[in-house]
Amino acid sequence: MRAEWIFSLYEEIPAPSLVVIGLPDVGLVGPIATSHLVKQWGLRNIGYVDSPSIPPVILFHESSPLLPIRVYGGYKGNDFVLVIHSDVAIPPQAIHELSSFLVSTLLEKKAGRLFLLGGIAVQDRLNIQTPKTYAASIDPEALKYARSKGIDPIQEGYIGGIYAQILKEAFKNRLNVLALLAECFLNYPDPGASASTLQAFSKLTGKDVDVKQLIEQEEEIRLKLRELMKRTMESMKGTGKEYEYTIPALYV
Amino acid sequence: MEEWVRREIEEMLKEFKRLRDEFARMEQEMLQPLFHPEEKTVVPLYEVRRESDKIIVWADLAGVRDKNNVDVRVEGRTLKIEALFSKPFKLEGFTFLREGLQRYKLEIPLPENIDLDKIKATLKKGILEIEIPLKVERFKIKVE
Repeated sequence: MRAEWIFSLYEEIPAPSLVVIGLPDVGLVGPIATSHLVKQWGLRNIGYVDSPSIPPVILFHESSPLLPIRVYGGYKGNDFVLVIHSDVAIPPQAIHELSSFLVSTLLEKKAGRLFLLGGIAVQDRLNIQTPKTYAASIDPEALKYARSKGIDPIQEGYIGGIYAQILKEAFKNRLNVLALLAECFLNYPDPGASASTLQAFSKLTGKDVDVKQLIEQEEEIRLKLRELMKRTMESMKGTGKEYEYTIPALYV
Repeated sequence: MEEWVRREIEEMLKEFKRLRDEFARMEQEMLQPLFHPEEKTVVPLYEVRRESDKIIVWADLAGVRDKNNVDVRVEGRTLKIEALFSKPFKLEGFTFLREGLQRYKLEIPLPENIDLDKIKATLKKGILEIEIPLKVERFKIKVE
């Protein structure tokens, strides 16, 4: 039986020309990036996504309740920006449902460009000063544009996890989506990688994002998010991430 | 000494011991919230990779700036890591962090064949890397 998913908004919104998604995955690159973006751009909490498939938790910030998967929105220049941010790891059994739900909801809302901010784990991250960000998309034009802005596409191999499923659903439903994946630690929160994805996002949208604070507070953020990283690592088992280090049979 | 006197003394001593234990337990319970060192200690995020001739351990010691505050030792067949934060880590409003965090502590079991003299440890960007070479006997086998 499919669990019920809710996309609830506290107010009417225009069709968003930009949508940014940050979900927990390797290095927590996505949620660190969206959390920073929301603060930087002064976006407001305008709703939430919820389902019985996610852990039964609620957050409190300055004594006010917050749902774990939140929707933020606001104008940046002439564009209405929608951000979907999660403070809980998505359980493997919820990945398919959430991906198709998000894609169908964003199609209904007549969303413009969709960006998935995340990471791609590399072994030698400790010796990489500035992580490189790669683009993955179902749309050749989006990849061409990324390349023109100096962001190389992922050439070969698998992508696993929640973003892979969103890309699949977007492909089936013709939603314009681009994943920006920065080289990152596998199992340590990686604000440096989040800064790299945001810089790539900024290049592609032409909108400024100041990432100085992310770089300066890197260790503090790692320390704060260590428990969420642990929960995310537990949830990542069986989500297809292990395929990212596999050569597909198509090379035979 | 008569038997009944000896039994009485034994009973008294038992009662003294029970009272002493009870006081010790009460004292520990009352003082624990003030002086419980383990509450201020966390296990760091870590990763262990075993290769054919070495083991590499990485531990995220975010918040530890000074390498002099990192203690790495091998005791028996256990790798022990202890590190002190540069300043105690507290987050306003989080009840479970009321005591603040002060140190990391991690213990990892090791195999017998480690090369103790060649272990290297480095701290970079708050991440501790420990390389533990293994003594490996090598034989070359002729392929026919």
